[in-house]
Amino acid sequence: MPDWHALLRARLGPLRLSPEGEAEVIAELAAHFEDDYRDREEAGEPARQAVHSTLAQVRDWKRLRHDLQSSKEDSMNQRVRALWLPGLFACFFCFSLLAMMIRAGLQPRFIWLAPAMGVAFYIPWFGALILVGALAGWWSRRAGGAVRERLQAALLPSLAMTILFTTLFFVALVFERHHPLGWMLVAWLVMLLAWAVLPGVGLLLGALPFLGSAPESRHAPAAQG
Amino acid sequence: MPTVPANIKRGSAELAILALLARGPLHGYEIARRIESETQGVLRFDVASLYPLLYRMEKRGWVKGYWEEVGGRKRRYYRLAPEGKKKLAPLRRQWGAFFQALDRLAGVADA
Repeated sequence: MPDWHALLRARLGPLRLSPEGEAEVIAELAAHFEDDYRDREEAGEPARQAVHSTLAQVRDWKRLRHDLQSSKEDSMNQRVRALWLPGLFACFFCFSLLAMMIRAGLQPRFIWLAPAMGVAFYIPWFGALILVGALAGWWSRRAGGAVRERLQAALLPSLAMTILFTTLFFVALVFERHHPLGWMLVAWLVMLLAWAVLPGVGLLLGALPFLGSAPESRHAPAAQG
Repeated sequence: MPTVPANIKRGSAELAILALLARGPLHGYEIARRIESETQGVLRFDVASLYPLLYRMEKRGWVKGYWEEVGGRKRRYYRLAPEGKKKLAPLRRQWGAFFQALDRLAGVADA
């Protein structure tokens, strides 16, 4: 029986994968070749010819190496592409847009919940968030993100604001001595509503069209006919 | 009537694999062999077309690969993941619509 691992390694060369990932791919392909070789031998092909025919099913080893690498890349890279890049883009775009709008003179609408408790709403910004959510959802889907990743990428700015305000709330609990706990709790919830929940609705609305369909499989080959 | 997106037109391979794995786990060679025998050779996969596709489907969470020792040999089996199960029904509908449309246009079923 030929050493399929060695034959494969010689033809594929080093794969740009983790050592474990590479070993898995080689082991899996070697098992496939071995089965194919056995079937050919059982069908009466001479051993030498069977090895040749088995290996001949790969016409372009460089192409195969490239396809294996790109399809098997570790899931961390995939997660970066499908979640973190579009998500961080959404954060950056979202807050840069707000900064630009404020710089351009956009005045917020205030809703006063109490004399000392007002919340600023930038209505046009909420509208723009629909576009940001759509871009993040589209980007994540294009990168092959699953529905959950597309949703997470689009909502990352809301998540960031939730973490920020929650952290501030706990810091205030420790250091703030002038206001009662109930007041701070209400303030925290109102800030969350204004800066995380409502923006989240805008982002979600934008991402919705990109949540329902499959990741774009630009590289998916059709079966050979 | 569901429409057929462009990526689905190129994705016959995905449907073939999902449909096969819906019946039970298989390793790569068996997937290729079954597809070839059940389509009487009309659809064929070789190493170069099968494994990159399986890995991509695994990355998307449609299938789940796992190693198992059978008859003293370690094989990597694939089974349908919950996300793949959800994919299968719409893919079947889309392909059904695609073939019906082709049939109406070109009488494919009578060919």
